[in-house]
Amino acid sequence: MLVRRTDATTEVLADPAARIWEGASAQTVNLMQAPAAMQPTRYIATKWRDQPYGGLASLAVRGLHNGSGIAFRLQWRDATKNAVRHENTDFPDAAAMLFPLTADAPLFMGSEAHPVNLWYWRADHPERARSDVATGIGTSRVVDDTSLSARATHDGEGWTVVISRALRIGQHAGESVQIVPGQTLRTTFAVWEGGNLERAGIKAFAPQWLELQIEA
Amino acid sequence: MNTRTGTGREIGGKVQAPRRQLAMVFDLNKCLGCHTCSISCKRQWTREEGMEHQWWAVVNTMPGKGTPRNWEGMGGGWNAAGEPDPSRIPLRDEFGDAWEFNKAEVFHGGKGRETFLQPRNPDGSKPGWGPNWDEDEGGGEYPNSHFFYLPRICNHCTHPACLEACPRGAIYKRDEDGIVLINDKQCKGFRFCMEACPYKRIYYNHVRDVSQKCIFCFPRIEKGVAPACARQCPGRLRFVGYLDDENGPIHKLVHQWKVALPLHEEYGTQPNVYYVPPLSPPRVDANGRVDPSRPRIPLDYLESLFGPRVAGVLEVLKAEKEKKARGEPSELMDALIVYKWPDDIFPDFTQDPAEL
Repeated sequence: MLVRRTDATTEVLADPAARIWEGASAQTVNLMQAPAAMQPTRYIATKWRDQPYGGLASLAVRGLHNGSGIAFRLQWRDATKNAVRHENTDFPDAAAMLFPLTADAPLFMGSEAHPVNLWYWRADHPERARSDVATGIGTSRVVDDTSLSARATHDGEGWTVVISRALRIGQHAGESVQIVPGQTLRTTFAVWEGGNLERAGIKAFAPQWLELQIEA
Repeated sequence: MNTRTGTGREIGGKVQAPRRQLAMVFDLNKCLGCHTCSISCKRQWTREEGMEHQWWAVVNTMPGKGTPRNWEGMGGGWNAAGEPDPSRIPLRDEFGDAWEFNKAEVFHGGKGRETFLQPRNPDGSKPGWGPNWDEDEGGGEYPNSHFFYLPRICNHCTHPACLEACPRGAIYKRDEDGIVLINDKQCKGFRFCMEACPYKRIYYNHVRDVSQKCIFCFPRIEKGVAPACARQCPGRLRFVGYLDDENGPIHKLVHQWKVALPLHEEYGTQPNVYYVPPLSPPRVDANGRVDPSRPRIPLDYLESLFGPRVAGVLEVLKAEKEKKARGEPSELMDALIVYKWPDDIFPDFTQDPAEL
């Protein structure tokens, strides 16, 4: 997918309703259920063995940058907006992008030698995304919750979420993907349907990398 | 997934036991249902925002629905085949929410004669349950009504279902004393532990987005101080010690005299809180005749909680009690009476916290 360079301000890029998104090339990313066999504990695998989850079929992705900032707009269908955590069984809707920090990082949350950087957005704090680093399933930890910005809207049929960040960041540089215009990098996605109590590995995920060409 | 320790996990079909295990024994014949344990725990640990509804140490009237409501029917733990038994997350109102009272109106609003103190849930709704909602309802029909109190905390299980359910390895069991803890820096509030725990003793902190539970007062333990619930207990019924300490009351009650039984052993988690089951007065028939052969608390009910050994334990307790009544010595009764406090009830944790 081409991430076009524009001269729009970072503020415009961060706006999910900005007109400029209409001109960005869109990519449909197919999702599948994160397999029960991949769940890290027997409890989770047993509990969810016969229950449907990760049913979201696809996600529409667009990306733009302006030389200093980059933004991704994620859109998916979800008629039930789950945005609060009040009841013990409340799990907000969420989405994440995963970027390898080394060339050989595995798609499934990285590995000890090949960490991955996660950009995680959740509907209970829609204006703030979190940067995590992971070295395998169950290992993600927060790098910071300040480097990423987010804005989200729910129109009754689904979510439109924009996650944006500076192309390169100095703080926690080694644990954050650094993006250079002209480069090609890889990413992948996950979406959690909060209304179905989806969290952790109970999710829909993209089983292959999406190549991003960052326009020079 | 646990990066801290393998203790408490099943590895290659074997449960990894800790080097030592701390345990408690609650003598139900002495529990007066005063809730001082609950309050002392609350004052010590659960006063922060997001913890208002948390009661790590509860006392339930039995027979009763308990905390959370009907927890005994919720599943969790391990089935007979050693597989996890799927369960669900109890709701706020099933635990009992953090009630607020109309104190301003009643005490300061001049309405003291028109209205009265009424609890409200934080969302304004009327509470439908609380940590001791069915207090003293009990079971049976007059003249054979009966109840007893069942104090409950986290069981710091040898095979904790919570620990193995957590996808983040945020729960660990300490090798030195078997205390089960949630590392709240590692916890992400996924709440699989709340599902997996068959005793339903884990709470969700919705402010911090983490799961929280009884910590066996480990900071006190490390300084030789007994857990708050045990030290403050007016009935002096909460014994604390290491299971392997042959001179301590825990080992004697559990392994030597064998009068302390686990609650719902069939849940498979190997709990480390044990109960001395309650004796009860004899049943009375419709004509007022006492039948000394039948206890008022039905044996099958006690067996449903503490397993098939209850009858034998009650016989031992009765016999030892009678010995004592006849003026003969009974080491077991002396231990249960706790003549010397705190030395006889938690010998390794007698340090007075006020003197630290």
